[in-house]
Amino acid sequence: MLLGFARNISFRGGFMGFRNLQVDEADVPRAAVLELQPMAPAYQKEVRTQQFLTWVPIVLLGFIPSVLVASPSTVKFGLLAIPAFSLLLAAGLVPLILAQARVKAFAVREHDVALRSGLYFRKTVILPYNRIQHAEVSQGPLQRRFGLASLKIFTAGGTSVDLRIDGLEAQRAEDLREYVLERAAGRDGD
Amino acid sequence: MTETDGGWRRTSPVAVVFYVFNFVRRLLTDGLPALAPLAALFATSESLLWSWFGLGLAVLGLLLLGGSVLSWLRFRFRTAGELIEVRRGVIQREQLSIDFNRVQNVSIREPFYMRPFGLATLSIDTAGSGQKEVAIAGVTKTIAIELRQSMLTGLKVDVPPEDAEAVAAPAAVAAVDEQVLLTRSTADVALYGLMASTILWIFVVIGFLFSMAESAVDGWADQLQTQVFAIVMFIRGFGVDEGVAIGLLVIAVLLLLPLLSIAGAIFRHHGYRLTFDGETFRRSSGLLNRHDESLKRHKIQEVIWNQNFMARLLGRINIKLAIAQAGQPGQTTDSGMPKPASAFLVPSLRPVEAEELSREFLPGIDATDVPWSGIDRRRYVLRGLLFGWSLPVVGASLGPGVALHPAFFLIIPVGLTIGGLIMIQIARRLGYAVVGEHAFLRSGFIGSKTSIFPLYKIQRVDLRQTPSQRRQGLCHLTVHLASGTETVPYMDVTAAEQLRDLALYHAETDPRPWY
Repeated sequence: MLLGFARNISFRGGFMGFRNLQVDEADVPRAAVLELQPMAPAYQKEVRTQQFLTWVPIVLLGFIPSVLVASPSTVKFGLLAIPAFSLLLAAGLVPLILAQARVKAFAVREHDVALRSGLYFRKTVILPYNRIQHAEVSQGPLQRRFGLASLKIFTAGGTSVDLRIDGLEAQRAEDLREYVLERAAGRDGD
Repeated sequence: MTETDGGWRRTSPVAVVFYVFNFVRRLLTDGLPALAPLAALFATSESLLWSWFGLGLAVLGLLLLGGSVLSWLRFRFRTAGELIEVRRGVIQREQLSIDFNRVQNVSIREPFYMRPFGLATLSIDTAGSGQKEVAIAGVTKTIAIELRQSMLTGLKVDVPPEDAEAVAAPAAVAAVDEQVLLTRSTADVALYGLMASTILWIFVVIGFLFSMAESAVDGWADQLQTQVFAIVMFIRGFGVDEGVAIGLLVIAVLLLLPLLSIAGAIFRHHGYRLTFDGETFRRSSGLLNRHDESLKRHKIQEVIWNQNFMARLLGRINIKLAIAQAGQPGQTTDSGMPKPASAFLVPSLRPVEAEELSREFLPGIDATDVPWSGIDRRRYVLRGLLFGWSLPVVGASLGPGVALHPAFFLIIPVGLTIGGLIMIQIARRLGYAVVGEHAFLRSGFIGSKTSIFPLYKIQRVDLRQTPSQRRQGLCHLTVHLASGTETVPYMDVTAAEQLRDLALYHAETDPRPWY
């Protein structure tokens, strides 16, 4: 946080002279024509593995009550409804989650970064570089196996992550963080 | 008072009182859930335990006093260049450095126990980080004013030695060329109190309606009825008729709540004065505890016009100047006050005053004929009825409708009609406008809230669409500011994209820092 602030302050001096008031409607760049790129191919694999690792134990654990009933009876048979229900739930949810991962896409532009996500609620978040307070790269155990990482970007006022790009190749995430922070600090003369 | 080792200064012993109050307040707000069962235990137990209770209270009191004295003893502060440094903490000691540039808001409080000594408490609000508010309690008012001045101007100032204060300080104060923007009379402040009590009024009215409805439905909330009945019987004991008794009860409650609210408003805002020196707004007010708060113009993120039901009736507007929030919203700070409550308030304004002042708060805005655009009201209302109202309404009618009497199914049309009317009213309030470099967003139900902000102050913009909204060309637009978020639902997608792109354009090209 502190770092981000120092960066923000540093560009304050250099740009004081620049000022433009009147904006022609046509001059405003349109974000609607974003050129979005999907996540790394390994991301789909990671999500699939993650779903597999989540649901298989749930379904297997569901068999326990039935196994515990010793004699073959209607109760023993009836308890099989638990794993059956979990399986049904998984069959319904997993395709949605996988589709959600496929829909996710982002764009790194000259002045801002954009992320589109959501299957039902299609959400597009756009965040200018010069509002970034700090950025971090995180990597979970599963992500490490697939060589992936998440980039988290924070602005002021927000209490949590403002923009989180999952499923970037680890090196790419690192580079992107560097780039984004550079832009946040520099606002170079364009 | 002046023990200078490396410039570190101690505060006045009167600060001990501040720490005592602070501890008690924190105990009451944070510790109450833990203390409540204990208190209940004592209240229900035998008299033997009462002596223990007394002992416990005495020990607690001693701990409190000891802790407060230690807090004062451990507290040191100094200024070094563009930094103010604070050392504090009894169990966990800490040293904080606050850069003048990061200061959002400085306020000087003069609680009643400090006023006789000419002392004050300086509260410093920082932004962006999770760092808490810092309070320097028990410094002379002149030092407080000087520190504030140096923080606001960002100038390097060393706190002068004790004897030099009296000479140096008045000059520093006089040097500021301030212009009085607004003063509020006691009547204005009383009106504000009346407006602030609207929530209480609504609560009373709803409570009253509920008790009416309950008496119409047999067997519902017997208990509450017996309670009301008991009070009514009590009043009747004085030889008053039942109907009159209920009336008196309602009137008594109705009168008492606004009176309390008015008293509270006068206590806090008596002698309200707002000044401006070309860069910094300052408001001071308070009957017993004077509170003096400063805010630099460029720190304002949003100007929020609030007009609740009562304010509409009275034709007044309350303005709130929102600044960047530090840390979690609702988090209690060093002085025990929750963050949102410390917002810079300009109360009880006539519409003309509100417009004029807003021009001072946000130079270049024009709040006179705002060209409002509405949302897709029909779809917004339908969606609200479908997802927000239908389930509870149908649910409420189903149980009694099946079990008791089919007449309860009438709840469905009645409930949906009421819901529809409410949604239509909310939809009519929702609106947005862009005038020059500023955006206006409006919402509300009976009252209204208008948020005005410079487009370049945005932090991030979200656009959200459901599949049906995609077909209809609608979306939700959410603007994130450092002071909070504002959402416009069911907005035309082209207009939303235009607003977003314009805001991004300003944020990305405007050289002024947002903070």
